[in-house]
Amino acid sequence: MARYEIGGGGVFFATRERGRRVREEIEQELARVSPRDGLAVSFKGVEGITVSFGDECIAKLIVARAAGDFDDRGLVIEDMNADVRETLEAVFLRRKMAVVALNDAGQPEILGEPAWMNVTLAAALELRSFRASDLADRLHITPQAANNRLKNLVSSGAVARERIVPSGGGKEFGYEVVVPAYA
Amino acid sequence: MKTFILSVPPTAGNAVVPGAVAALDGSCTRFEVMAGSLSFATPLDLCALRALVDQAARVCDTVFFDCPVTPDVHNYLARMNFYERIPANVELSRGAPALRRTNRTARLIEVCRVESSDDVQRLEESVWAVAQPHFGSGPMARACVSVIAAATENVLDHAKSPVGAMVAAQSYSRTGLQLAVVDLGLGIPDTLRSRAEYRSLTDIEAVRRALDDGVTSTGEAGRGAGLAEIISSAQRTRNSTLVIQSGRAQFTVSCSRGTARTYSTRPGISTPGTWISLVLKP
Repeated sequence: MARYEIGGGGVFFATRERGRRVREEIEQELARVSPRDGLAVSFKGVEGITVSFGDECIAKLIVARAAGDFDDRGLVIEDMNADVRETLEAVFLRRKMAVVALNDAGQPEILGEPAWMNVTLAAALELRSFRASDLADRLHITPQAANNRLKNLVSSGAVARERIVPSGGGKEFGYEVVVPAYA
Repeated sequence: MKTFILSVPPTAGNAVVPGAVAALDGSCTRFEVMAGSLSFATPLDLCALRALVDQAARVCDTVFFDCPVTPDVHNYLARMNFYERIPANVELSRGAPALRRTNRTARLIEVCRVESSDDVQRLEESVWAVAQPHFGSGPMARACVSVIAAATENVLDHAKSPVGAMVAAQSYSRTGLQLAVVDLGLGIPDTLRSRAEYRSLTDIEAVRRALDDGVTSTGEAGRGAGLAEIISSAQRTRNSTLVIQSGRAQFTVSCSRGTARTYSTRPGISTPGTWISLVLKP
């Protein structure tokens, strides 16, 4: 998994303008990542960020993933101190969105909403490579509900999505966990 | 030729600035700031007075600044870069003294103007350098930087301030660290009232609403965090007083041992733009 360190240019990050510049750098890194691989965005050495920076830099990446940008590769946030984590959590709660982050123990977890995302992430981590119907079976939910949850999981960065052609024809997606500790 | 003369009191010089800014309506050609008796200036005083001088220089043909008579105060203003990059049409009663500067980055931030994202970045590093000797690298120091960063971001995003944001800080051994951000832009009430749903709010109601997370003048998703972030950052500190003034509204958030209390008052004179001051006590 490739790694991008945000802290290369300082210890505090603020303003939407700077958030946009850093986001564009992350997008360039993501463009170099192969499908089914992922990018870890590290906040190592960063003491603090503002909500505006977090929204412009990270939340808008997730908004773009939800629209299909780079959804065939993963994205995970790591090395956050308590302040950065709290600020990013606020950013995602405000947008009612989620991102996957590695906690201090290196375990992937959801930052943001909705609440069922952590259960869905845990099921995906067990399945590793799967289809929507596999997730539906595991969670005892309908395939439609599984598809809805997977949309959120893909945009959060935890899993990559790839179109596959089933033997019977039609359109289907395969999903693969791309969180580094488990990939 | 019409001349406006402003008498600056020995202390709390910022108090006379709102009325003076209101007088800068284009009708006077000369503006005189009589600060000869100034005996003590906080970061908020310095920011407000310098913003006034810059705004007067934009509006009037000539500006006269009567420098403090007391050498120590005159020297202090020079040390705080109050006289730096003064507009060409501003006449000082005395030249700025030549100073033998020592590195005081751990104790003060000289008056500076924030007009861009890069300025905010440089400022954050300065605030961090001032806050760390006081509070270490913990949440207090980070809260300090967050308050100033969020305050200056707001100016860049919304204020349309003709003088940018003026920022200064000073560490005092007895009273703690004081930081100030002053702009002469639209102000919180007018910015929020630009949206139809908030049009009927009074100044104090508008500022109170603007302090809530997610309340924004732009209506865009993800916006409206700035002022709420300033409050929540201040609340993370152990012992601090945050004052936000804008229009006919003043909010004070006082934090002591983890408990925050908010007070609001309606000042007699409207504050131009938005003024934020933070005092972190030792």
